[in-house]
Amino acid sequence: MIKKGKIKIPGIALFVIVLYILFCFIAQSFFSWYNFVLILRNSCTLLIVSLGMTWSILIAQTDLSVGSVMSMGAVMSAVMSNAGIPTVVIVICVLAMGVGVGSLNGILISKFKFDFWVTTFSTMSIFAGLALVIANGATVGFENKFYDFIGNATLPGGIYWLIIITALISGICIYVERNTEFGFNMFSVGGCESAAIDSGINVAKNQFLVYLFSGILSSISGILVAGMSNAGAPTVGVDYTFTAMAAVVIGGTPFIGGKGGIVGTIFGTLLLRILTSGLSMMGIAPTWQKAITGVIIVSLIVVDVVNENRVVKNGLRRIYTDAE
Amino acid sequence: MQNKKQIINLASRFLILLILCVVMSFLRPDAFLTANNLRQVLLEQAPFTILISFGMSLCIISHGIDISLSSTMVLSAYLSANAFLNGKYFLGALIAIAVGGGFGALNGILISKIKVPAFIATYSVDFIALGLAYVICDGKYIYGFPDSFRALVTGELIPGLPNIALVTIVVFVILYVLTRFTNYGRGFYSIGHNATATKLSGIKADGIVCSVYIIGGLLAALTGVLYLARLNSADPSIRGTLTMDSLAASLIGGIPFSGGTGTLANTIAGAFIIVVIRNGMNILNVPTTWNQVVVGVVIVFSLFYEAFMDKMFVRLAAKNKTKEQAA
Repeated sequence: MIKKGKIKIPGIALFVIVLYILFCFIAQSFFSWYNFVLILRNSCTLLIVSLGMTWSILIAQTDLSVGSVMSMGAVMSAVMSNAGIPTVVIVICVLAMGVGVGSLNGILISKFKFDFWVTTFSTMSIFAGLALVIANGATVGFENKFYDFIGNATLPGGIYWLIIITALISGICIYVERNTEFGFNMFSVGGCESAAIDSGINVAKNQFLVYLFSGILSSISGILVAGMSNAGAPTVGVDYTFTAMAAVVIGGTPFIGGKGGIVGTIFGTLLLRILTSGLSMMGIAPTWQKAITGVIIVSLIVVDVVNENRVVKNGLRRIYTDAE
Repeated sequence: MQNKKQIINLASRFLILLILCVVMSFLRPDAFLTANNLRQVLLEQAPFTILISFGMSLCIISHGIDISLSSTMVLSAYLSANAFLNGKYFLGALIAIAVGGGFGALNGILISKIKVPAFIATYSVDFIALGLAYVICDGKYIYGFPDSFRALVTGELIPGLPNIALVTIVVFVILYVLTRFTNYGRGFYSIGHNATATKLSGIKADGIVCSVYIIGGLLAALTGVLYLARLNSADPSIRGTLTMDSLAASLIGGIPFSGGTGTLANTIAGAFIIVVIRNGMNILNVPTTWNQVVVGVVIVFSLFYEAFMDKMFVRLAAKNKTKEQAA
């Protein structure tokens, strides 16, 4: 029922280490403690969003609205802070928004049985639009001690509090994935939904919880990104949806779901951020960085899809031919 | 061949459109209900959305999706602009067809042969097409197209009907006949219902799926060329909100996202609804930041409406069955 034993390090971890070493040789300034910490810091917001995305891809669906919830969180933080609302109330409101959007997605998908793609696509549009409305179409700067602390404060030695917070949240999510019934059921639901239903698993509840957590985690990421830049940009989350998907798939959780998990996603996120950092250290212009990263992401996803199809085909071949 | 359910579905969508128009006429009769506004919205602006929505609808009917249409449109507009500028209409048309068909084929091969999920494949092609368009555009503006080219959109072969509306009607007739009266077209519906069963029946589903995306690409190329004629310039901003609008149009028009049913008449109804909503928001001075929210709400509404209609028809069918059994 519950995963006993050591956490398996996925193969992608080796790839991450190799890439890091490669960049150390290509760009001299890449190899430094400062840069290492910076890469970790830049991975934090993407990782939190990808944690929620991991679970929705694990159950063979996708939550497209994570970027919009993040934008909403950032914008709400900025606007409410400027209005003088106490920080505690702001954080509660942002988390409530995450719960709200997650529940909306969850109910529409699990109870009303709407298609996950259209539902999360429309939620994405609605809340991206609302973020623009709240922010009045432009980035809203703000000053808030709490936000600035979690976004930018460091321990002596250079480790950002942000990294510690992110590690804590990831640890909690890994625990939930491995040691709870909800976590265990996700793999069954993703592997074969009809079999999961027939086994007596409450699939609807499982799906609802996945979207709920996805919403909460995305709103947390919105708080963090607002803290990092001391501003609420309504379009901050636009690229995050696809990048989070990429991080999850690269980390070993295929789109058809059923296997993988958060540990892989952590390495997937690190890979993407090492790539960005390395390319910029090499002096490549940002537009070309985006193009190169995009091409790499697409190729890795295509490779993953082709591989998964091959595995499924081979499995079917084994089942349908008489094995001696 | 259309059964009662489909006719009622289509009629209810046009009813929604009618209600919208009535509400708008009530709120601002001076701005909305004028012949000028109606003509501009329905006959000059709507055709662009309608053409792209045709491509999107065909993909949705075959249980897929195509997000790359708007970017293909921009790219084919830019690449064919120079040819049209110099009066080489045949060359321009060839370039547009090549770009639209090429990117459509790219989508089709990724989705049917390599079996990449439709969303991922078309998102990636969208990324590539848009990137290429920006690289080629390089900040230059191309303008000053010959009048005979512009007549493609602004001229009137039939007095009172702008040429672009005529083009759209012709395209609609061709595609409608294709989807409803040919075996090839019925293949779309078959694949949308159950792709595996279609393949097992011996129909070449892979080829049909690929061709659906090629048709979408060609439609996008056509729309790009028409934009060149209308705006008299090559402009990257024509991409606008077409992706979301075409998706919303297909859904609110009555094509369920799971595909398998729905006709292009549904698409036209849906496209009109979306265009009227946007025009209405414009006239009512709703800030543009709300546009995205409204279209998203329209999509959610269409999901609920679809579920509601399904439930109604199930109840109706059950009632008819008990009537038959009692009789």
